[in-house]
Amino acid sequence: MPPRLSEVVPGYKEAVERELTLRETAFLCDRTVLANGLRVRQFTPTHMLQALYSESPFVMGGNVQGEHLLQFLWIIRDPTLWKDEDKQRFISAHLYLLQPAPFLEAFHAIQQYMEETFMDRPAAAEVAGEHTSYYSNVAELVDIFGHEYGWEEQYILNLPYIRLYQYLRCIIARNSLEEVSFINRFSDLAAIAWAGMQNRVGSSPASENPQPTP
Amino acid sequence: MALKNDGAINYGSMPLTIAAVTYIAQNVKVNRPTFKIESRDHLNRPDGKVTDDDFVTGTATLKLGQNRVPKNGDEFLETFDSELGNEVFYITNVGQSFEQAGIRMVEVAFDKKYNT
Repeated sequence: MPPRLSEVVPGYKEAVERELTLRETAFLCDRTVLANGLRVRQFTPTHMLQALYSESPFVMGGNVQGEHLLQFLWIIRDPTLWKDEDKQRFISAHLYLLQPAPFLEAFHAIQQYMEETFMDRPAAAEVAGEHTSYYSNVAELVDIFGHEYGWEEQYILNLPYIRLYQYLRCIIARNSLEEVSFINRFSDLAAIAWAGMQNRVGSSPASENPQPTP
Repeated sequence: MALKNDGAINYGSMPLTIAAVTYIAQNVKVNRPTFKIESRDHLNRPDGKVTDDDFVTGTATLKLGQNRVPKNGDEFLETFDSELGNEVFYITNVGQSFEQAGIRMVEVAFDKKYNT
């Protein structure tokens, strides 16, 4: 019988546990703690719109400067700690992040936060050619959840992506006639890395034209 | 009578080596249906039946990184049922591929190869 991935792939079990923990704790609290210790809100479509509007390289790509880091942290700040009128105080309190070592630490912490936020987002079809969208991703989310659950626009815009994408998977699975597969970001990465290593060392037992044993 | 297994078995996630490339396969389903030959008397009443194994087919979703997407005709050897032992299969359909941040996913269908 084929081996179980959890038995042969290093780090697979831990990656599955990490995915489960992230998914479950997302429902426990709207706030989270970055890897560098800063308390922030879980990323929502409203945050995405604010980050896009301010052309943040954390969502649009490009080089990240100190001001981009502070700007992004302000967008995802914990509103119970920092009110709208606290912006100057917030910037002063976080100026230390512009030093090289804290900057790098915060940069990686935000990258991890974004990777975890979007770990369950639907995979995109690989199609040739250039495609322009007819509406925003946010409009699509509002349409799906408004239609499926009857939720209001503002409610959807302020729900963390990590929860929205889990609901989206449930909707897709429920509406599909056949069993559907999704990408599990961290466990699949571990499994694919292991498979890649098997291919590189050429230890796969099967040849190009496998023959069954008599 | 060679009635053996008429169900579909879901094997979950597992490594699958197709044409010497190891992939991570998910939702692997092997279908082992049967066919029936029915016999009737002169009044069309059933008076006999033969049931035997039909062609074995299957489907799977493959997860891959930089590996090439398998092609129709690519073969692989796998033991899905320990009683049946090793069997050779070949890809018969490669579906739409999907991508999320460097992880690619493609659905494939396969048939059992009988003359190996």
